[in-house]
Amino acid sequence: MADEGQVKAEDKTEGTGDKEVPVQEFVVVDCDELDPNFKEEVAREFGGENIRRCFQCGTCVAMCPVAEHDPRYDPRRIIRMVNMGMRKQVLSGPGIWLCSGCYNCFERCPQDVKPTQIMQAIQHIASREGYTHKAFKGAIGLLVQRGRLIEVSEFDNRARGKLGLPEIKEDAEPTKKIVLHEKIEKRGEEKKPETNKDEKTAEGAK
Amino acid sequence: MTSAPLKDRKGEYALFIGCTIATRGLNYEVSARKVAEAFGIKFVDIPGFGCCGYPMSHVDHDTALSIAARNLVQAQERGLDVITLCSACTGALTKASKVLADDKKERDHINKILRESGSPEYLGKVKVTHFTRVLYEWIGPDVIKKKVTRPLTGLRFAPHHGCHYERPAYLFDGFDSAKRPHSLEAIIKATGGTPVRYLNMERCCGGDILAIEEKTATKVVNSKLKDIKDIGADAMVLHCPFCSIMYDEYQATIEEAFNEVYKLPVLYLPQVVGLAMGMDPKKDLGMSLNNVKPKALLAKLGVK
Repeated sequence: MADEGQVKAEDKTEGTGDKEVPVQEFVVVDCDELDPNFKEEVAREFGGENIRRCFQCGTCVAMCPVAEHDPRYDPRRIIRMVNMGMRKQVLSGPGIWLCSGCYNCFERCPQDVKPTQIMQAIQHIASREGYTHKAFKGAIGLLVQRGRLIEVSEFDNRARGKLGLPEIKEDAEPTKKIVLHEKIEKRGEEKKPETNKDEKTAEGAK
Repeated sequence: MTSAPLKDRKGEYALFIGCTIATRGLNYEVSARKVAEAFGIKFVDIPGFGCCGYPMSHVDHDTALSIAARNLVQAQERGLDVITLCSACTGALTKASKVLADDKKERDHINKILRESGSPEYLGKVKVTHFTRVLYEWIGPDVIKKKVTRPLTGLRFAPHHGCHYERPAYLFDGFDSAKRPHSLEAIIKATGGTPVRYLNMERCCGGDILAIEEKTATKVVNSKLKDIKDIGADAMVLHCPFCSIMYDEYQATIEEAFNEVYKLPVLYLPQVVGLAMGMDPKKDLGMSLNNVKPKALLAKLGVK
């Protein structure tokens, strides 16, 4: 990824080292800890089918609006780690949750690897393993409670009425039933109780 | 364009507004309803609509698809197709509509979940269309042009197509280019306005990761606002409440954080179309709800 190149270039031209430039953490790969079946596991998920096709060209990173600003998100690196079998590092790391889902890489990948859907496929495995990101834990809670991501208060309905918009009545039941049927609700529970802040930021995004 | 024009369609559709527009995008909703009405489209509000399922696409495939399908069932029971305003809803519902139409095995699987959760089964026939696509494809720039009574001549608009409106292309029959989308530009032109192209136009608003990593998300937003400032525009035009939150609601925060001045009004596409059709900016188009006030823009048009 670009950051690595930048660090090297700076080293050469200025010889001042890399104090200011964020360097990617280099991971020591312990072969005994690799899970050779991880790529198959991802390939079995919806959208993960083509993961083994990746030949590491980096088109996904070049097109990524997030990778440009946050070195922790590097789709090429994540896909490589999956193909190498670094299951635990991938599932527990922050990277997989930083995909903004814009599908720019998806449309440009020369191997049709579908990186956007691969991130979702990995997120689904991570969520089953107890690594659901706290933002989505908040979202699960709201869906069970309200059937919607944002509360429609009396105040909101009054504002709607003033503009001639129809009133909205919350009905959590139908959505809640699906969430309970799929046994997702437990993934919405934090080890420590949810703080208001989590709920607020989850709402802020949606 | 292969899609049938509006005149060959039945004019009644279920309007899916989703969670964000219902509380934070009333300007979008009110302007879209007014513009639709002016073109003879009747929106039906279905009380049974809930979350579109998009937030669960980061948690569980079956849950996300089932929640989306349950909404489609609500429209199916009334014999209606769906028109959406929010791009995230468009993405989630279109995915369900497409996947469950094409893949019987998947449909059977989701229908089992629906049945056991007390919902009727989904038959796989409901179509989902974003309102901008309706304007672009069914109505078309030529017909919009004929309705213009207040041409937006001399105004420069920076279109932001966003992501789940046209991408991934396989879900949207490639009706607009996934790499270089242009449908917003065509509609802006029809209003008499000038669409401007800017660097990294196709990049996203970062709204999806706002709750994950706020700092990174604001950097993503800032870089686009900068690109638009470089080229110069009277307003940004978009059609998704997430994008609007990022560029409009967050703009002041971002100006402060990055020590920049943008003061860039952010308008929803129906607000722009409605303005050109002579509608009242406040009453019909809810422009007083936009965070960055489009005063200068309205003054250029001589509208109060």
